[in-house]
Amino acid sequence: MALILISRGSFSGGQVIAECLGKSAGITAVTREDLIASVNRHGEIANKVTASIGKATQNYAEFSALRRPYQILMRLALLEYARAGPIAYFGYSGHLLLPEIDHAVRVRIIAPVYLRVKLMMSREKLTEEEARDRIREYDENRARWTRFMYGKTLRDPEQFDLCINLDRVSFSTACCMIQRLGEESDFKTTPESMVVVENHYLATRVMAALLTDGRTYEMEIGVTAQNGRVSLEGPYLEPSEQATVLEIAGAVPGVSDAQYVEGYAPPFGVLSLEAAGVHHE
Amino acid sequence: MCVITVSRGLFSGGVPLAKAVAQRLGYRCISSEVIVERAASRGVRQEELRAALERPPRVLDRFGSRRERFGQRRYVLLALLAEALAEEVCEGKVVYHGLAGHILLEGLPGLLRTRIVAPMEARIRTAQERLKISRNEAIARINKADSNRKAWTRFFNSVNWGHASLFDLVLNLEYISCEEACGLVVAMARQRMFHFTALHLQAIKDVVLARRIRARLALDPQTAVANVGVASCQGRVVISCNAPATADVRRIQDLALALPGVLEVSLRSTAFSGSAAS
Repeated sequence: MALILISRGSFSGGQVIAECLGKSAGITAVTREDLIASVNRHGEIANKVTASIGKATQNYAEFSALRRPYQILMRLALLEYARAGPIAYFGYSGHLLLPEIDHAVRVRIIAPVYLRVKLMMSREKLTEEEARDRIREYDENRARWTRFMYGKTLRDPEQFDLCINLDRVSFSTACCMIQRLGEESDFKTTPESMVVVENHYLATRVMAALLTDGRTYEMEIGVTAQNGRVSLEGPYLEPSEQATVLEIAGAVPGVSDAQYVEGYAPPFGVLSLEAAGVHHE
Repeated sequence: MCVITVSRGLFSGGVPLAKAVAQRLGYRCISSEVIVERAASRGVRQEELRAALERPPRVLDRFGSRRERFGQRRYVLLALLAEALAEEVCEGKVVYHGLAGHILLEGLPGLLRTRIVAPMEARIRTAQERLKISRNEAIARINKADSNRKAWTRFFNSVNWGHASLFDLVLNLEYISCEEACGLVVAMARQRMFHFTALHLQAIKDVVLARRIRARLALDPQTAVANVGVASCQGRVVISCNAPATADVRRIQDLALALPGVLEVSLRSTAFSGSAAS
C-alpha cells in the first residue's frame, strides 16, 4: 500500500502527477484541503485550530500555541488515509508531518520558474508579471510556514528520498520514477511496516482525543503505542487529573491498556521510534 | 546514449553507484583523474591540475584585477579541465563521477545531472572503515571536502552546492539501496530527453568548440586576463569579454579563428563599441 509524500511548490505540476499516479497505479491523491476536512470532523476544538492556524503566522505566540494541536490533528488525518489505501499526499511538508514509516517515500518536485509561471498564467488568467509575483509570494509564505511549523527548510534535499527537477524531465517520467520507487523492495509495504502505521495511528488518536477534550486540551502529553498498549508520559498530574487522562485514553477504540508515567513529554515529531517498532539498520 | 554526471559528497556512496550505472548501461565510467591526465597533455603538471580541482576558486578570482594577481593560474587550469572533460565525453556513453561535472559540462545536450546524498552518520562510518581513522578525523575530512565543494558551486552559481535545482535527479541513499538507485538512474538515462540524437551532434560539437576556445585563450599570455564567455552555434562563435583596455582584441579573434571548426567570431563586450565580426 504505497504511501508517497510529495512536497512541491504551487503550480509545479502536482495535479498532473497526481492524475498520472491515479491512472497508472490506482494511487489516490490527497491534498491539504482533504486533511483539513478530515480534521474538522473531530469537533469544535479541531475546527478552531484549523481556522486559526492560517492567520497565526503573523503572531508567533499564537502560532506556537496552535502548532502542536495542528500537527497532531493533521498527522491523524494523514494516517487515516494511509491506513485506508495507497495514497500520494501532495502538500509541501507531508514528509515532516509523519513519523518514520518504512514504506513512506519522500519526494520533492522542483519545477523551473518559467514552467510554474506558464501554468499559473493559463489557470489563473494572469499576466506574466502577476504570475511571477504571486509565485514568489507563495514560495516565501510556504518557506516561512515550514520554518515556523517544523523548524526546517524545504530546500534541503537530504530530507527527501528522491528529488526530481521538471526542467528537462517530463511529467510522465517523474510519475514513473515515483511509482517505481514506491513499488520497489526498499519501500515495499510489509506487515511489519503496517504495524508501525497502526501503532502511530493509535498513539496519535489518543493524543488527538486528549487535545480535543476541554479537560485535557492544555496538557502536553506524549503517547506511544504498541499493539493496543499505550504509554502516556507528561507532567505531574493530580490523581483526579490522571484518572481523567486515562479515562479519555482508555475510551479510544483499539486501546487495551493505558499507563501514565510522570516525565518529559518529548516534542511532537520526536516520539520514540523504538517504541513504535521502527528499527532501521 | 547520454552523458551522466554523478555529483556526491565525500563517502556518500556516489562512486559505487556511478560504477554500477556504467556497468548496467555499458558506458565508460571516468573520474577526475582521467580529465586531469588529458588536460596535462597541454603541458601542465598533473599535481597543479588536481589542486585546482580540489581547492575551490575564490569569489574574488572572478574579477579582473584580482584574477590577474591571484587567480590567473587557477583560471587557466579550470579552462583546461573544462576542455578536457568536454572532449572526453563528447561521444556520449560516459558516467563521470568527478568534481563539478554538472558545472563544467553546462549546456551539453543529453546531459543527465544526478546528485547522491547520504546521511552524515553513514558517511562517517564509511570514512572510518575505509581509511581506518578516528570519528573526529572522519568528520573533519568530510566537513573540509563539503566546504570546498560548496565554494566551488558558489563561484559559478548563486545557489548553494547541492541545491536540488542544479540537478535532474537527486537520490538519498539513506533508505535507497545502491542497486535500486542504480535502477532509477538507468531508467532516467533511457528517457528520450537524455538521448544524443543526430540533431544534438552539432550542438555537442559547439559545446566542445567553445570549451576549446576558452582554454586556448586562457593559455595565451596576451589574452589570459580577459574574462571571457564563449558560445558557438554551428561554428559561429560569440565571445563575451570584459577584458581590460590593454587586452588585445585582435589577438582574441585570431586565436579563436585559428582553431578548426571556427567559421566566424563575434566579440561582445562593454569594452568594445558593439560587436566586431571578423
